[in-house]
Amino acid sequence: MISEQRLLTVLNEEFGFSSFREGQLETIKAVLNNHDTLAVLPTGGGKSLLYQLPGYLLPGSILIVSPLISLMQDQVDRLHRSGEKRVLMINGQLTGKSRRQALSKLSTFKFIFTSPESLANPEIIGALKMIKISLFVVDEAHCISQWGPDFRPEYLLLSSVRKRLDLPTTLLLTATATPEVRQDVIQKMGLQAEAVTQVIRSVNRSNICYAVKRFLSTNEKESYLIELVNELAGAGIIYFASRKLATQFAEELNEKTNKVVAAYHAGIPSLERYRIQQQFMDNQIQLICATSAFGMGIDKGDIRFVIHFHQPANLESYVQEVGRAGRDGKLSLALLLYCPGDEQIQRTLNYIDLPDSNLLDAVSKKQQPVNVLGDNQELFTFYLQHGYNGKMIFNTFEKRQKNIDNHLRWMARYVNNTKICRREMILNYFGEQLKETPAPCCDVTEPELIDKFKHEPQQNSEPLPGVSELNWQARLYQLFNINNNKEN
Amino acid sequence: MNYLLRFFDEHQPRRIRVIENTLRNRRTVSTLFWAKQYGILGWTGADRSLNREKFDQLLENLVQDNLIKIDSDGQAVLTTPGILKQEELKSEEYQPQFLDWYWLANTNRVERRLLLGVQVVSELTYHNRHYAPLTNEYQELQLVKRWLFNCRQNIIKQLTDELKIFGSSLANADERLANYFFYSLIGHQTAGENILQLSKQLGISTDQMPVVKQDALLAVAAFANSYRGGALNQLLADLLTETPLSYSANQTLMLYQRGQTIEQIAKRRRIKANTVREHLLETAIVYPTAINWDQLLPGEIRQQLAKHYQGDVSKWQFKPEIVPGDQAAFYYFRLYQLYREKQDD
Repeated sequence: MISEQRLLTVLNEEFGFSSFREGQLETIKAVLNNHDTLAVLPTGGGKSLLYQLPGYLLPGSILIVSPLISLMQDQVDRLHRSGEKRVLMINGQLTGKSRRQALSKLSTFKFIFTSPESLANPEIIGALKMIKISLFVVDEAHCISQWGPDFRPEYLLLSSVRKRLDLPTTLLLTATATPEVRQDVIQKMGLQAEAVTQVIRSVNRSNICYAVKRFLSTNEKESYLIELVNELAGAGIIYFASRKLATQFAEELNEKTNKVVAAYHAGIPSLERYRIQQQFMDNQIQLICATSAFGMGIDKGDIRFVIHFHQPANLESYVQEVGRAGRDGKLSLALLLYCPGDEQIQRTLNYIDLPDSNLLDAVSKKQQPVNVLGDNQELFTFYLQHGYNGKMIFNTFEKRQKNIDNHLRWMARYVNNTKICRREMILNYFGEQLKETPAPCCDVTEPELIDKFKHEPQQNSEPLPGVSELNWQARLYQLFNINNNKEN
Repeated sequence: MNYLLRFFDEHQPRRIRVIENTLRNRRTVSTLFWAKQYGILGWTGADRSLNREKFDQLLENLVQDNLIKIDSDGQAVLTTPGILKQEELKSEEYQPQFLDWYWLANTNRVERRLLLGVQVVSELTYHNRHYAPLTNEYQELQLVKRWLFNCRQNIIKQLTDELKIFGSSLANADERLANYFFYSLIGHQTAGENILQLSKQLGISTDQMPVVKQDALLAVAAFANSYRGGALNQLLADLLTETPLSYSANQTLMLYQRGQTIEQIAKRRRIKANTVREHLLETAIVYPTAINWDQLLPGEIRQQLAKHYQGDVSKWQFKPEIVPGDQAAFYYFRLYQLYREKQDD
């Protein structure tokens, strides 16, 4: 049993903090006592510390399953920056000889990040079985139960992966899980609810203020956005439903506003993403136009506003996405822009053409070719390969469709609401009650809310150096820390 | 304006898939042949991240703007407004200078390796160990680590000296290219400039930026290739190829140069005779100086073909009944096209 004092010492030595945040100590203690644990802590609540700190106290390696490469990348980068080099990322990019090399040295890595897809690979599982996994972490564990566009059937295999790794202590992490989702996640991981330590904290982030603006047309919404971006103070993220729009708006906002803007999504080459993320961190870029999935890796303390140009598929995603704001604890704005027809975008993005159960069975028996299953054939064959029959698949997806509709109804309620406090609505959705209304809170309780986030006029960013000011030699000297005068 | 407009011509109908496959480095003999006809061979592999959807979208934009017309066979020509636009853009378009080196390396890989190498050395000069490398790819990290270890003694001076020489030669070619290159590098407390920033600073439109990038990276590959034993050479050596030919075509060529017949090569290499012919055609297209035409295309076949085929080679129609060589007829036809073209040059 490790004393609280010892934990505080490690916290201070390895991470430079003097005290734990809400829920951290309780979770870490549970994990160190070998209890399987589900931790639901608010966005920005310091979830990575929950496995990093035990990493320094437990023998063997920590295995972290993460849903997105960008998220993994971000965690790995942060560990690198803190000086921890014993970090490995196993994903689709690690192939051939380098994969064999890395797998043969697996035990030398303290933190091993991987995706559910990689864990479906027998070679990788084989190598993981050879080393000591002292903690099995599932990051963004709500994905196990998610029915959204990021639907990943491989998450359903995590329970059997855990068994194959001889049931290591398991830590499930998420910021957003309704009571039903929590139950579903525990069950799908093959755990017994009563045997799991649950550390649940409110999803409420009292420094984030919520607002919705409704428009009659996209054009109106667009011009409002340009005007508003010019007036808002500090750094921000705007979420779009498509990469194309994110890129278009980044260029337009760059031209028409006083902010330096960049697009950030899966279509941007990885080196360019690296540059943009670093520049955003260093405040050289003040505004990022992102798609939902790729905003996840961004962790900047002083993001003052998150705007949704298109609504997300559900309130879980919304809370996750706006949760990137105000990590420094200062007042921040979560603004959703709506115009009629927006909900249709999510409906289209989430739509899956569901084949008839007989057809699914015929494919399973190889009486029909796989391509009769249409665009989502891979998804359906995954289920067929894992013991589902046509009827079961049909029912599963019908349930999924109902779930999506239900989520969109909640979104609609949130958007159309003009009477109930928005924070209260969100908390109710997650099965919580609002205990205390912070001031300011939302545009329902405070109609002039958005004005609070505008800056004084004439606050302009520094202009970029022009072509005549570029000097490649000077730049070379700066890169390699050479005193220019001494050199010449 | 997207940069694809430069690939079209007012007289010569051009196959859009040839242009796409060229940019994406899909090197079939047919693509190489037509790319050479269109004078765009140097653009091979210039935009490897391009995909079908994006390419088609860009062409669709050109069609909608009435700058090109595409016929039902997938061949496109410039329209009159297209000709004017192309003329107008010529002065503002970036003109690449290092495309002759197109075959030397996969520039995406060169970029990643080079930037990582520079980043690691930059952090080293500031004695900083706490930073995030720009890629977490295990193999790349290992390679750069080994490179650093091998030339640790004077890596900083060596790399700086080489980059100075390289920078000067880039600036001689085009000052903007030197600035692009150095301002896109990543190092201690600088992530380099992003595309939008560079585009603004260099006065080159964002659509042209992939061209500038390709040019700068081919230049650095060519520099590393010529500066044997240097720090850049050691960093990039395994990414640089020896000849414009694919590995297999080069094997075939070596045997052919030793006087072996197509059948002998096929037997020895356990490949089809037709594959050997494809290799030889590839050589005739991308590496014509390695070809002995009298050996490859005997005089009598040339004479027979000369009776039926004259004028612009790109308009010739292959007619199996008049070309000698049976199964190899198409091979002779193509070779003769390349031969005539060489004569006319």
